[in-house]
Amino acid sequence: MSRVLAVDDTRALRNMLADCLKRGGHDVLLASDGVEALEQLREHRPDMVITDLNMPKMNGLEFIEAARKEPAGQSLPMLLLTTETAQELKDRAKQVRATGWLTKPFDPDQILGLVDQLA
Amino acid sequence: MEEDEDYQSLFFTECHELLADLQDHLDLLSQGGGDGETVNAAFRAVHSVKGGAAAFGFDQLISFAHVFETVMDKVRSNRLELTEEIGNVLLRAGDVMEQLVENAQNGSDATPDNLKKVLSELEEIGDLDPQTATGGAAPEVVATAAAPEADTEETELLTRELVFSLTPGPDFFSSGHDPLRLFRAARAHNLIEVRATGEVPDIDAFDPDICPLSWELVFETEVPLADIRAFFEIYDATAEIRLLTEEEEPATPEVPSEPVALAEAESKPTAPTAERPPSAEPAEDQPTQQEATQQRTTVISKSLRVELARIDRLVNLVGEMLITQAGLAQRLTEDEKTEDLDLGHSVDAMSRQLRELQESVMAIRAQSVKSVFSRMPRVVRDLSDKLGKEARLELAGEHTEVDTTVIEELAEPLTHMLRNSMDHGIEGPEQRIALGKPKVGTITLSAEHRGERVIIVIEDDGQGIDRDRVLQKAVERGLVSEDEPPSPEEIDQLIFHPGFSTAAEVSSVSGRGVGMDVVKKKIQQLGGRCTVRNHPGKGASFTITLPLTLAVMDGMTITTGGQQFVLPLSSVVEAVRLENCQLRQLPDDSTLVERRGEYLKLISLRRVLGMPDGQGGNSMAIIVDTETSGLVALQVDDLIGQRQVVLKSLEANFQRVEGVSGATILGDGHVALILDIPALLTLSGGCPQPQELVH
Repeated sequence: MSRVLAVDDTRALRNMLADCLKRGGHDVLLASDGVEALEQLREHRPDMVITDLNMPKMNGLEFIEAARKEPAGQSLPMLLLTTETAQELKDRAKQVRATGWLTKPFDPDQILGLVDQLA
Repeated sequence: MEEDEDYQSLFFTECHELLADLQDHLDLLSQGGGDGETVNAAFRAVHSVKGGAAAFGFDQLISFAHVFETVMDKVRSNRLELTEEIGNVLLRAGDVMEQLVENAQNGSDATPDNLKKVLSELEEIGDLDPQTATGGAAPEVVATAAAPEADTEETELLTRELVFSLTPGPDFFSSGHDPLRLFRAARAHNLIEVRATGEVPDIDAFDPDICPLSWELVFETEVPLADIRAFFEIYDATAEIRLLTEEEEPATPEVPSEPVALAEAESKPTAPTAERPPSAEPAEDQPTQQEATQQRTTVISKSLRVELARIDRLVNLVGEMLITQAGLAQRLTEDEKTEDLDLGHSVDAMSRQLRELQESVMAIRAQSVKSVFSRMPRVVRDLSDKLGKEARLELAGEHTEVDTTVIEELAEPLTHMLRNSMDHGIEGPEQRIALGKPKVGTITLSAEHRGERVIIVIEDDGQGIDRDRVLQKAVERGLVSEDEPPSPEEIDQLIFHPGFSTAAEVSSVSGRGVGMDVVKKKIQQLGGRCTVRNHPGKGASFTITLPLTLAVMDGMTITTGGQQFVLPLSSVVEAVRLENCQLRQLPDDSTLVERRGEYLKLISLRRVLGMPDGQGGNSMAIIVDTETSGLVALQVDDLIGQRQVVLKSLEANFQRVEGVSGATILGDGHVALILDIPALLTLSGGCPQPQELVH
């Protein structure tokens, strides 16, 4: 069982992801943007993060970049889960050292598989 | 499945919020206002709708949102200048998207009428190639959905040994990978052995962030090679992975299954970019986002969705408790032997707490009128197009909160009144210019709290109500007699008369067999009233007043003719003893009562209610506000006190009684009628200037 932080500004998708993770027996933390996610990261030290890209205040890439500077995020597996497909965004994701890039809609089994694999 | 529907309904709720925000942002932008953050917020709204649509597989919505998003992305990255014309296309696109969302919600796959038109407009302004634009989103979804099935028809494979080498790159650790976790997870695929190669350097040269070793992983498995490759895919970006054993690759071309590794994307830099033009670095435009969105997001993260029925149950329970408490308090005052002060205090405290409880419960049901108001600009826009008139809708007080039942019921009457204003009020552009008015008409829709009521005003700067035509129609229909011409105000009222509609002949917009009488009826059902003020040539304003809650109200209990009645406290200004007042008899047999230098008309409640002028009583005057015609004094027998009463509808069991808004159960178990003062006074003809329109 791992503690996974799910970040998405769309409530429906956030809940969907959370329920998928809970079904896999994981502890779920929630945040609706990068700023909240950073707070959760510092306070609750998750084992893994799955984050949306486009969000208000601080987007997924900025969040990962900031999180990598935190002790709790230095070597944390952090996946981006997004509908974006643009190459430069993927390049940027690599630059900020995102662990992986997943496209919505997600396959619950795949998500759970990755959590088991990475966290 | 049930859960899935739950997500969907949540998604739709969010969609409506997002679309309302989108309209706001686009409105602002198309008027030349807003800043980078407004554009970003608009983009995100479209993007979020698309994301949700993709998750639930609403194909039409996905492909439309995709084109819309692409155009918004161009606006966001300053590759497309937001002119007024483009703003209008975007607004229309917002409308189409709203319709698509509604269709998806209703399970209909109908295509909105103007989808094609707006889509091509979007493609035109966005300079998109129609094929890539519309096709872009759909295959993306299909491809990912199909990916897992790619190898299902794999021929039978025997257990064999597969050896992979894994050489971590410099970013392996810092991208969140951990070889130990990898090995552990690989056991699920029958990893049987791991061999380390390479050497750990001397401590001086050792960099703890970089992995100096490589590994050979030995699998003994019958699973297809593609599965193992898929397992390694997530590491592709930061490590070199090679298959050391030889095996023939499966014939099916390997679909880049998820996760699309960052490295793989890197190796084919041109492939996926075709459908999306290069966008600005998102990191650049994000840091400007501040408080505007902050509020919304915190609200979302801390809200709880509850079924309305559960809250209704709570409201009813609180109502019952209020009645029980009132009974308890009454018993206590009646029982004069009880000198137990503590008991009295406790009952008082309970009463306060109950009131708080009731207010809190009502606050749960309260919702800002924004959800209804935000649909209205679209109504006005549509009508502008249809009627060839130009008008702008200005909203004020959108954050005023009203009971949620009221909100749901408001959309229809508001839409109808706006139609009415557009159709009959606002003049055509040429006519307006000729009249010296601004070419574009203005309709203001505002809401505010006043005491225990909510006031909604729709005001336009059009031509006002054409009294001559209204009168002519009314005479034709035998509603009024030609010999006794009604006063101008009475003519204005006629538009609310059932069966009166000048519209049917005049236009196709508001004359669909529904008149303003339907609006009035609807508002009445909500316990409200509707009035009009006409300024011929300058415009008309319609005022709707609604009770804040439909369940509980503060009332003043009085007796008259031996019966108890409740007056809504919101109508009561003060109560005075008549013996302390100066009375003045007028020649027409009416009486005026002096109150602080002002003379108010004294009206006997007994007479209004048709009770005999019995002896005794008649000692109190309650000064009440008629809302439209100033204050009057209502003569009653006695005043009993002030209390919260639970409103029980009469209509459910009997029928609507004019002048009575409902009934309640008093503390002693008796039933008392709650009087609707303005309606009652109009009914009795006691109102000096009958501008009140609810009879």
